[in-house]
Amino acid sequence: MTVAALTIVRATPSTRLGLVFIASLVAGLLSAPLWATTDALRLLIDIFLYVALACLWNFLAGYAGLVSVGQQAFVGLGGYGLFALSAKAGIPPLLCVPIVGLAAALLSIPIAGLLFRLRGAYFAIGSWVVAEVFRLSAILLTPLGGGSGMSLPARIAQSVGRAPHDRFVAVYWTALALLLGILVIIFLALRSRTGLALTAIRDNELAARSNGVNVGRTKLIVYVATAFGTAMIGALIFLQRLRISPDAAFSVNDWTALVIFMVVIGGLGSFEGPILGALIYFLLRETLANLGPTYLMVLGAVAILVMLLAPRGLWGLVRSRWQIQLLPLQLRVIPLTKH
Amino acid sequence: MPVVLALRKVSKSFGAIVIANELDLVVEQGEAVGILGPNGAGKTTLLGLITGTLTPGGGRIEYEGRDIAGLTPERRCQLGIARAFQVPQPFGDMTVFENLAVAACFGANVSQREAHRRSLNILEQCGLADQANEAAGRLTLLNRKRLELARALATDPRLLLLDEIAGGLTEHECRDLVALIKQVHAAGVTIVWIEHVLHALLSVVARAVVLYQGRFIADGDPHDVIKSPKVAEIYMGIEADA
Repeated sequence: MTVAALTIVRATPSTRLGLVFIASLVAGLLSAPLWATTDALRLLIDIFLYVALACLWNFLAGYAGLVSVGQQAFVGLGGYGLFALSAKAGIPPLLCVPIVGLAAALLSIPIAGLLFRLRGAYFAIGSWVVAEVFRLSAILLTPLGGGSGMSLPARIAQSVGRAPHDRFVAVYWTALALLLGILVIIFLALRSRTGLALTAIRDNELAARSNGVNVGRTKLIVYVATAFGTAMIGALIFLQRLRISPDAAFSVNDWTALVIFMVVIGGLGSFEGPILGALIYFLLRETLANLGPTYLMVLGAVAILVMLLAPRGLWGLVRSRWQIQLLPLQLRVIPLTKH
Repeated sequence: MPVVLALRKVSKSFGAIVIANELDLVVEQGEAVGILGPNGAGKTTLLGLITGTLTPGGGRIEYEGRDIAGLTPERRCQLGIARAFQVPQPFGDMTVFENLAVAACFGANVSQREAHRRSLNILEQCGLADQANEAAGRLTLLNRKRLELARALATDPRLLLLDEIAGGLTEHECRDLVALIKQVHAAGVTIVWIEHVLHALLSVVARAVVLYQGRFIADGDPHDVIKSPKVAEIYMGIEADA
């Protein structure tokens, strides 16, 4: 057999370059509090949180095929969890972040039991309904301000950092750490058996089942993991804002529609796509936001153009034209002698 | 020989249309059985019932002596029932090698490392080594069919269900594929094969059944079966193509 002459690798020259690029980017971002202004930090925090939301939604919809329009349920849950635990139970805000993540993951299991009975568009609508139920429940929570919401008491905000700049720096580190953690976990998951199953489900669910992939269990793992990450991001979003209300916390526009925009223009079902999409969104926002309503029309036009001209998003375009990937995810068979 | 697959009065209808009408069929270990029948006779539906993508309306399906009703398609695959679809169903954006790795990893339920080793073997065996890194969605028809078969083999099957794998191929391409199927059969895998390309089918199977309007109307030596007046009547002229 010639089997001995073949071997399997994941890395390619472009992924090696990609790793160097990523390493220098992370180094630059880690040192940002040393040189960046408070405004720049605030923008970067926003970017980190949205990149994380986009990657999580892509993991859910792009790989597991669970097109949820209700991820704001977990963002809001995270935010409200943080306010309740820190303002009412006196737990340090940053410690609340993993706790609310865990709570959301536990809660997502019965929700999955309910929603997984629905398929396709029905699942999407069902997930939205669940998020609305959460929003309406939050209105009933009078200790947390009911319909008008509440502000985080100043002493608790100051426990994160005495001056506003210090608080931004603390939230900045946490957001960056959380984003990197989420990216690393998604990356490792995609390289594991679960990732192989997910990629197969992404491409063809019928064939995946017929080849022994346990589709139901794989989707559940992804749904719960995504709820965990999304709630932690939600907690940070509202720790940054210092104010929460049911409409802001469970906003379908802010936490799902915008995220879907990013993932779709970047490229659904690839690791790099949602990151690219989120960056393009912020580029448009920062350059065009002064235009008022025209800005939203430009966003809409961009979304329509990308969907028509590059249905697999901009990263999909890049990947099919130049066959490159930034991260060593794909398995390649090469002759042993070359390696 | 022990029985691998047994259908006991299996029925299936879609609305008022009866696709399977109390079907009985026993396949022993190591057999290769051809399934013939005109379009719409219910052949592909039968494979769906065996693999679990369809639920029978009545009757029992036994695999290696146990009733497999209620088992999911993925569980049935893990137990050794593999299916090559009539219309190839590749994981289009994954490479050919990754397609096999999925089947080996989950169908044969082995570690990723072991799955990779097996997938390399099957690449060679099925003549797909040169396409290993190609996206499966970009393959030619012949290679898609090869991949469909290769992926079924990667699940380490004991019962292999083939659905018109020779259809649409040239004479030469067909011969390669038949040689491969013979090899698999010789290694002890039980085969149930739906095929319209008779010469391909006849070079492998020693038994053929004919499905017509939801019933088996003939069962036996394939050469006798296709010559029987009842079958000739149904096929009217189709056997002239063979």
